[in-house]
Amino acid sequence: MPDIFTPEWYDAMLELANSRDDLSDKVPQGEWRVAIEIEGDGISPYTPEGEFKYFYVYMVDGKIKELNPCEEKITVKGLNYRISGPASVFESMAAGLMDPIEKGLDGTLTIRGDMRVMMQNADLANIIFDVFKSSDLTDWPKGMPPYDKQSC
Amino acid sequence: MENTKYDAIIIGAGHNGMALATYLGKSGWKVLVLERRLEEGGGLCTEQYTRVEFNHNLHSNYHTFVGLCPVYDDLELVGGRDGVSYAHPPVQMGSIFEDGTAMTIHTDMKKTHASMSRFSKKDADTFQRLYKEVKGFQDLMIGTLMYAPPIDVNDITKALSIWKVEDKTEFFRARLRSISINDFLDKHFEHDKIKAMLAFHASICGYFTDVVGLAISFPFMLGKIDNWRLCLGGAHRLAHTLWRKMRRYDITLRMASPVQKILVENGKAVGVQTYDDQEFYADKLVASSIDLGQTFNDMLPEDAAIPKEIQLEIDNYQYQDGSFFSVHMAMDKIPTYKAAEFDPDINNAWVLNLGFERLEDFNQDWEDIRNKKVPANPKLNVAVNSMFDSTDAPDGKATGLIRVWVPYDVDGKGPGTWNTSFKDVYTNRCILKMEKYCDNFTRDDIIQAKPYTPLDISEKLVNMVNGDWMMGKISEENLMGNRPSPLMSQYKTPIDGLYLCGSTTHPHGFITFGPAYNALKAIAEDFGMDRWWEEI
Amino acid sequence: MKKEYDAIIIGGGSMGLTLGAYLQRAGMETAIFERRWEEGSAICTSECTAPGFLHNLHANFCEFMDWHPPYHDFKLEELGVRMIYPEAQAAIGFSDGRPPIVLYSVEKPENFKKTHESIAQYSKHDADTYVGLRKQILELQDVIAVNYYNPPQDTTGGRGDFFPMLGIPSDLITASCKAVIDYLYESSEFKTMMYRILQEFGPALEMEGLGAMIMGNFWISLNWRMMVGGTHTLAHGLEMAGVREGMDFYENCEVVKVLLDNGRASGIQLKDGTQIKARKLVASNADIKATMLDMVGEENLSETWVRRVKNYRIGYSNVLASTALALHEAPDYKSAKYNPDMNKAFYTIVGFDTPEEILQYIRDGVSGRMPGIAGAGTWVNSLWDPNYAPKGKHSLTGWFFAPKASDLTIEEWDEVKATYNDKFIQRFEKWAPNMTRDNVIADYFYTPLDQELEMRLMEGDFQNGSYMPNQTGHNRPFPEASQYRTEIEGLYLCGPYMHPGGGVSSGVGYNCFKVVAHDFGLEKFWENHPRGF
Ligand SMILES: Cc1cc2nc3c(=O)[nH]c(=O)nc-3n(C[C@H](O)[C@H](O)[C@H](O)COP(=O)(O)OP(=O)(O)OC[C@H]3O[C@@H](n4cnc5c(N)ncnc54)[C@H](O)[C@@H]3O)c2cc1C
Ligand SMILES: Cc1cc2nc3c(=O)[nH]c(=O)nc-3n(C[C@H](O)[C@H](O)[C@H](O)COP(=O)(O)OP(=O)(O)OC[C@H]3O[C@@H](n4cnc5c(N)ncnc54)[C@H](O)[C@@H]3O)c2cc1C
Repeated sequence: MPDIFTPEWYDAMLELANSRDDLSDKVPQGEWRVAIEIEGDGISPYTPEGEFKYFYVYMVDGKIKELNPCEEKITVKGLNYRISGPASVFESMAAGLMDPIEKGLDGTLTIRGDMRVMMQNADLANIIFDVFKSSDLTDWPKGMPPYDKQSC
Repeated sequence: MENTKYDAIIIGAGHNGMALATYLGKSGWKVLVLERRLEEGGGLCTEQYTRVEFNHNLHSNYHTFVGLCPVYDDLELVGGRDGVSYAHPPVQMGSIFEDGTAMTIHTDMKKTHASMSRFSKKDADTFQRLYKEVKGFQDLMIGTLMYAPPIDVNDITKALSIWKVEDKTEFFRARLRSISINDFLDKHFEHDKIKAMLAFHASICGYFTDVVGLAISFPFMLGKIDNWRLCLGGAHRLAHTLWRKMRRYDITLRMASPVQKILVENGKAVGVQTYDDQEFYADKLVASSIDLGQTFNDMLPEDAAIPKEIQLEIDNYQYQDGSFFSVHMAMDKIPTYKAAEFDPDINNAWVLNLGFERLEDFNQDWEDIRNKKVPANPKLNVAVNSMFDSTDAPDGKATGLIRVWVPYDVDGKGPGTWNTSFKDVYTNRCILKMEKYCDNFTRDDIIQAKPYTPLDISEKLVNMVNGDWMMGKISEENLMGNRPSPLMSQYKTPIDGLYLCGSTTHPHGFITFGPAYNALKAIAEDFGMDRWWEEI
Repeated sequence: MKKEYDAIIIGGGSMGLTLGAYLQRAGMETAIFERRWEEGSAICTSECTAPGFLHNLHANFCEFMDWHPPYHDFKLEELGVRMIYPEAQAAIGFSDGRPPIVLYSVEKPENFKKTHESIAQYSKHDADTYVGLRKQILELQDVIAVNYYNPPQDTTGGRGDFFPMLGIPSDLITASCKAVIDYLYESSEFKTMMYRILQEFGPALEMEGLGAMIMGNFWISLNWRMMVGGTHTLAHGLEMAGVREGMDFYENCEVVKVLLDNGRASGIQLKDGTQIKARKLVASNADIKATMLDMVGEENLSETWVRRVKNYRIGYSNVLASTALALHEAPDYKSAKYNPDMNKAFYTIVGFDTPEEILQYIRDGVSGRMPGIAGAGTWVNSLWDPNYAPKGKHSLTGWFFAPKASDLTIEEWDEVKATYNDKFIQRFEKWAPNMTRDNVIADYFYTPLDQELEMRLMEGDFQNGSYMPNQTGHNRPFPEASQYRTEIEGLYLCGPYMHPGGGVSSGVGYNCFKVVAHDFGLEKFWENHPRGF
């Protein structure tokens, strides 16, 4: 599997998500736009402290059409959600070590957008996070969380 | 020729009506706001009520959604060219107890913890955990549960269970839907005085602590126990700011223009008629920020198509059990308290509780109020704004406020008692009570005290029926998707083009801007507006 | 808050608001800094008795509205400002129930007949004279307005010119207004009415040298309009006119200093220390002594200016105390049995039967005591406008002539506040038997001291400067300052202590704007304006 945060990795994620029928069943019809913002926190070796990684997810009728890294803060019109948080937390979730709901509840992850739709489609959130945390999704060239010292 | 054609007409220039107008105006709509009184602002009302040079907030005094409510940012209500400034007193709240002790809530959590620890270390720790837990999801929850049209509570419960939230939090439980704030406090806390302090916070936010079901909101409410803000120069300045914003978008506000009719053609609201028989027309919509009685029963034509079940809900709309009796004081100095010996910070605390010592005290008063009895021993909320705003009184003097929870209807004889000399008797009783707690302050230091009664509230703002400043009961049957009625909770009414945008809708009264913000969302969807304010 | 503007105005009273709106429209970036929490100062309305009862504690009679430049130039009616023009404009009743005298609006020609009939009950001569004069004024009124809405031309503000045209002997120009009234009228009843109206709306009745001032009174009386929903709505309208043009308005901002740069006004400093720069000018609507002596500072003024400002007289006449009553029923006058309009007249005089009583009353006031006779000029706006009181109830407001604020101690004023309304109500009952204590739901008394503290109308003088022979026309406030400029370059004065004086006229603000426009080369739009000023 590709290294995390490489173009191949984004493609692989997209494919994996689109292969899950439960996902396309649960996503409300129509267009959905989500921005993810990852802030370097000095722990993660992938995003230098103070810098950001952005990626953009665009879904239509339950299928992901785009899943791309972006250079700058995503300001597309009609964005439905923006999810932001520290890099090590995102990576820990990808590694299956942290629970996104818990991180949302304690404020480590911030979610902007209409939570009502999210609640009405509570299963969906679980599935997406499930996809995201499939740890077999990636190779971790610089080591995976909790990052043993040597690999950093 | 005077202009009579608009895109939207809004009834009532309270903070909700004005905010909705500003959003629409900023979106390029031509908007007219009609206000019954000679002043804009509704509950944002400051007057030199006792004496000249002493500014008193007759209605809202504590603004607790600053920094949490998106409207302040969207409309640039704080700072800048037209904006207001807020004070955020470091010692936010305090309770003074008969035994000479006192407890203080600070913007600095460590100090709050220290103050509570003097009563119970265990409770102080519990409170700290609770507060921390709530803070984590406060923004998310406030965004979801206040600044968005209401969703079915069952959806929420379901999501919480799918996400296994109960396993991940200590205090947040679906079960809270079936218990009262008192129950919640009894379950988690041991010390009477700490429970009283926290229950006091809920009470002053408009929540009766014994009402079953309200515990569900309580954790969020505690999350803003350190967000009591004072609008410098008086609450009315926020109204000025809104008004000036409106003007900048060329929105017209007509004061002294009570609306008496909503004009309906072919089942669609097309305009309004004011008391002087002037007609104004709205191409897109009419939005009412006032009470249901006026909107539906007085203003709509008799043949308006209001389905029976909705009419029934309108007629049965419930108001809060009680109202506020206030005493406004022009004072020679800022009071200090005997309990300062125990906790010197109490002299710097803003929102004070003098009298509630334990949960039973609340229950006693709630029971009295429901039985239409004025509590014989008033429990006071005291606030001296001059401690943080030197412009509200002449140099060296101070303004003060006492608030007491009382019934609107006294002894089942209606509110008339509030127009008799009883109000002076009760004023004295309140002042005597306050005096008991003070060390250097007696009634002689009060230059003038003037009561403001529940009846005064409903005379000044006729939409605050029964003097109910929340404009509708705070209870599960009357919140979220039930407010004002299950069939009208999405800001729309059975009359096409007639929207609701006032405190009778979700979330509720208080200076929240929630009703306007959510009505805007419904309107934006219906009219396919470009939602510049929803930058995510 | 921006740190820099072209023009800064100290004080958001009606004159400051007027100047601000015109300056902003003329392209100057303008801000007003007002110490109170509300705009408009003396054009205020409050629920001082009980919620739902509105009282115009200061200005109630809006008499200039036909001319009032900003009302028309900024289309204030589009901003929701509206007026009512009551048919029966003024009335006096008597304690023994004699027929009242009722004067009707000059809007309809047929009203002159009604006015004439009413006065003629007591004197045909007075009726002829009054109606004759008032008709002549109708012809002249636009010319009077030209004098009013321009910087002053002579010591009488141009008012003296009119005496010969009206057939009033010129030597009365320098006599007292009382002498003019005595010359014109003979009946005791009508003189009582004229004395009272004059005193309340203008100069000291018995002061020599002010005869010409009566012109203002001729001009505006029977032109009285009421602002729907309170006079304060006019302040709202004026502020919004400016804001719509792009002006800024900051309330709760007391100005403590006018900043100088090489002797030129360059900005202001607020009480909290904030400084704001004025690129072009500073204008003050605040009282003249505070502006010049405190904000500019004596050390920055010439000896002449210091002396002139210090000698400027504030108070003496022009001082009123207001009463406000929330009522179950509107007053029902004994005299109304002869003319029901007595019960529905706008400005209603109650408590005086003879001219001597008025004189006694005025003399008490100018000698520094509250008048022994508690009579008043009153109005019950709720008779026309339901906004003024809850359904079925009424709000009455009225004025007493009063000593100036410093004549009584704070304790004495408190005593007056606590007792004078009772005295008034007792007297009122003799004129209108239903005006018992039981008819009064709540009452409020507003003293000159209150006005000084609240509005900075010093001494409670509603023009912030007496009308005296040496303080009118181009002597107002003193010759060197009469053109709205000061000896500090870039500092202008726009308070009611300037020509043509106070009132809900916007006159000072408009005239000051003309001078500023001249100095800064702004477009003089008024020069081609059909209204002629
Ligand atoms: C004593 C008291 C204390 C309070 N303390 C606080 C506090 O500390 N903190 C806080 O946040 N909140 C407080 N509140 C509550 C708060 O003031 C209200 O909940 C809030 O103002 C409601 O806002 P609104 O815009 O929905 O309605 P309002 O502010 O009531 O505005 C409605 C407007 O509609 C107008 N209107 C009514 N009928 C008509 C008609 N027929 N035609 C045209 N216009 C009409 C009214 O005159 C009013 O201006 C207090 C209220 C009271 C009475
Ligand atoms: C009892 C009474 C009855 C009246 N009745 C009538 C009537 O019926 N008809 C009529 O036409 N007129 C009437 N008037 C007169 C009229 O109201 C006033 O003459 C007129 O409003 C004054 O003009 P102004 O508003 O510009 O000045 P002011 O009202 O004096 O305004 C000056 C402003 O400057 C502000 N200010 C002062 N110092 C400072 C400072 N340091 N920093 C910032 N701001 C400052 C003040 O707060 C005030 O807002 C009446 C007046 C009174 C008192």
